[in-house]
Amino acid sequence: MDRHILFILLLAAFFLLTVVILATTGEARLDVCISVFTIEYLALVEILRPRRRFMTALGLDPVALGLVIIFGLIVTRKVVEILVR
Amino acid sequence: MLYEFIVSGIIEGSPFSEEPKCKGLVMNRLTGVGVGLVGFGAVLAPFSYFVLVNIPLTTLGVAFAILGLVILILPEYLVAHEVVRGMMSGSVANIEAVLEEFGAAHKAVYLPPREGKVYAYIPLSGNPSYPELNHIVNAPKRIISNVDGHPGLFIYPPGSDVLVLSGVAKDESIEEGEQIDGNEKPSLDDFLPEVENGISYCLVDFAEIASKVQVNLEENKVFLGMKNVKIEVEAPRFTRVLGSVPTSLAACVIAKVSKMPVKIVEERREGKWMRAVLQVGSEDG
Repeated sequence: MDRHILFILLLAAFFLLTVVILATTGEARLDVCISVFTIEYLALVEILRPRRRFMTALGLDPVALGLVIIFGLIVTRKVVEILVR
Repeated sequence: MLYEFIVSGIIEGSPFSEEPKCKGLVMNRLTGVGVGLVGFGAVLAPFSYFVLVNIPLTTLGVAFAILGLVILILPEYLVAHEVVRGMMSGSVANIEAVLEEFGAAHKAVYLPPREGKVYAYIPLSGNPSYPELNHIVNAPKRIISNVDGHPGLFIYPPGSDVLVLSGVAKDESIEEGEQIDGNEKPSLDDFLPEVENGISYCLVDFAEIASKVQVNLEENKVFLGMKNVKIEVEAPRFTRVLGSVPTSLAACVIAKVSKMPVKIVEERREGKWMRAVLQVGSEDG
């Protein structure tokens, strides 16, 4: 199977599994889901290395860059929350 | 059916119009799926979050949007790596025959793209010295050309087409009569990330002829390391003149990115690694 099709299928399966598991465990924090999505996406990109049409100067594609930025913001917010507490 | 109706509306202005208003815009099936997923996710996520106050549905919306974006950033036409490797092997065999015929034995100089493709100058056996680089760039494009009394071959190395196919070589080329910085010291900081990304993309992701690439720059030399090289072509003269296939491809990327001439100085194998030293710009650089 072509690795690009495999990448899309695996990503869809992982995302669906994540949503189902988090929903059944009663997880109600959106940032947890987005963090898991980010990790899954970056891991799959590293393993399957699909070709992408656009790449940023950092060597990341726009989706990865967006996810990393959101992930960074989530982590920063959590760190600030812990420090302020 | 509904989707085709909508898409034909986007492409042609109106599904009922007889004259397409935007003929150049072609939306393939995969792009349509991507747009659909992004649109669905963009509606579902905020609606679930603000109206339904349902986190699992919101995450499902986010997942749809990410999946749609991923589909949109995948290339429209995928060239299989077997095709790329086959194309390179065929090209190497042809160039090998030409080099044998002319008895070329001296190292080639990879030149920045002109007319969109990187090309190489190979001095012919009788005359091992290299003419001035600007004169080579502006020499008439023929298979055999005489540059300042230095006869040499001009060929397109296999990497030049791979660069075009991969999309790395989509920038401007050297114009007719333009001067290149053959004597200028390359600024390492300026183009190291671009060179590293370009070589890594071409060798590891696109052609899949190596599993890992390391690039280091020192003065006007590029130190290249390629792990698990998967292409072996029996072409001794090609290897002597233009370097091995992966190094030749890397030289094309460097010539394209730096817009400077590149020469392969040495190549050696160290276990799983293939190491090469490439000189960027002129020797006295």
